[in-house]
Amino acid sequence: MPGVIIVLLFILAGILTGMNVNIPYSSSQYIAVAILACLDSVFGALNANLNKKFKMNIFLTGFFGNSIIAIFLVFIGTKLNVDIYLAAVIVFSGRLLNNFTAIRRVIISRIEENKDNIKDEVKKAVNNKKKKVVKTNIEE
Amino acid sequence: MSKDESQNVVKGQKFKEFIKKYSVIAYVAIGIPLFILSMLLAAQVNSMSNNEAVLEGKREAQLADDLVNLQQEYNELKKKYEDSSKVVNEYKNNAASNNELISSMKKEIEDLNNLAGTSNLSGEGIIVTLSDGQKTDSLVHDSDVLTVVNELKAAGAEAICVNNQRIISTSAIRCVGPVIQVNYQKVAAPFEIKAIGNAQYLESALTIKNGVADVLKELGVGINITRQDKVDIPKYEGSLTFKYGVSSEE
Repeated sequence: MPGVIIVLLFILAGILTGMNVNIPYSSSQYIAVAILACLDSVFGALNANLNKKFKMNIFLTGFFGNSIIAIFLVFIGTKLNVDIYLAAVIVFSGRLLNNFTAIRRVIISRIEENKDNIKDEVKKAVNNKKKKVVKTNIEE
Repeated sequence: MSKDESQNVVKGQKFKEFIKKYSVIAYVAIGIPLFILSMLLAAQVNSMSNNEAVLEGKREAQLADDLVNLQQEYNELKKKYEDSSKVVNEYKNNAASNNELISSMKKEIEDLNNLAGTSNLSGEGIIVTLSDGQKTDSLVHDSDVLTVVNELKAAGAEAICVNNQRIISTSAIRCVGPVIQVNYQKVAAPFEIKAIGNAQYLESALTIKNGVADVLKELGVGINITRQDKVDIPKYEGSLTFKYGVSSEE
């Protein structure tokens, strides 16, 4: 639990500082692509965590490396007058959606497992009671 | 002392245990990127919703930045100009009440202002309205406006404006796509050309047989001329500084 609180505090602090920062319009494109890259990394981390494959160094390098490369792509695009940033946007949003799908599947399958377990337990309990009743009848 | 030290050591160990138990370092390591992400998100949303000129494309983005800067500069300069013109006015008023010589100079300045187009004028004159005709090829062109203005000048107009753009010695009238540029300001049809001068002379200069009015009517351009006892002409809004020309006496 303290971990979740720490993470939430960081997010809250980020939003509060972000509210007071003004990004000039010409650099908004860079920031937008960087945000996409970061979001992709975070969703990827969530997915890996649910599958118990999460590794801290992979998350950190991916987070910063992806965003830096995305910004670099936008920069090159402006220099060459080609909208290369579109490639970054498409790839990152595609991966984001894939990650989200994977997360959804894992969570839904877990919920279903839980339901099955509960049903089994209920059945067992009912059977036990029946057996007891039968036993007492025989004893009588 | 030794007790205190041992207590400190115990405290430190507890702290270390706490950190290990809940893996605080790992969560902080996750939290820092999330902090950056949420900050970027909030900043982006914040500045995009503040920005009125959300245009598309890189070039336009740059232009928007430039525009904002120039507007700020313009506002600052305008403020400066207003301040200094206030000072000039004060001097003028003081001087005028004190000295007759200076009052005559003031008169001269007024005349020069009228001539240069840096003062509002009103007086007898005419208003010519040019409007696009029904046919596609009977639009009002820059040359039509220019001809009318030229004709008015030749007929002795003292001050002329096109859609409230004062015509001064450096004014240009030219075609910029679907509109016309006067004093580097875009103006569009219908064009209202105001002129101060002898109304009768001005009107007859245009309506003379085979004159400008006839030619324009033949082309299908709508032209409407009205005489007025009082025509208001605004002053020139741009700056009037010469960069290359220096007055020489000879």
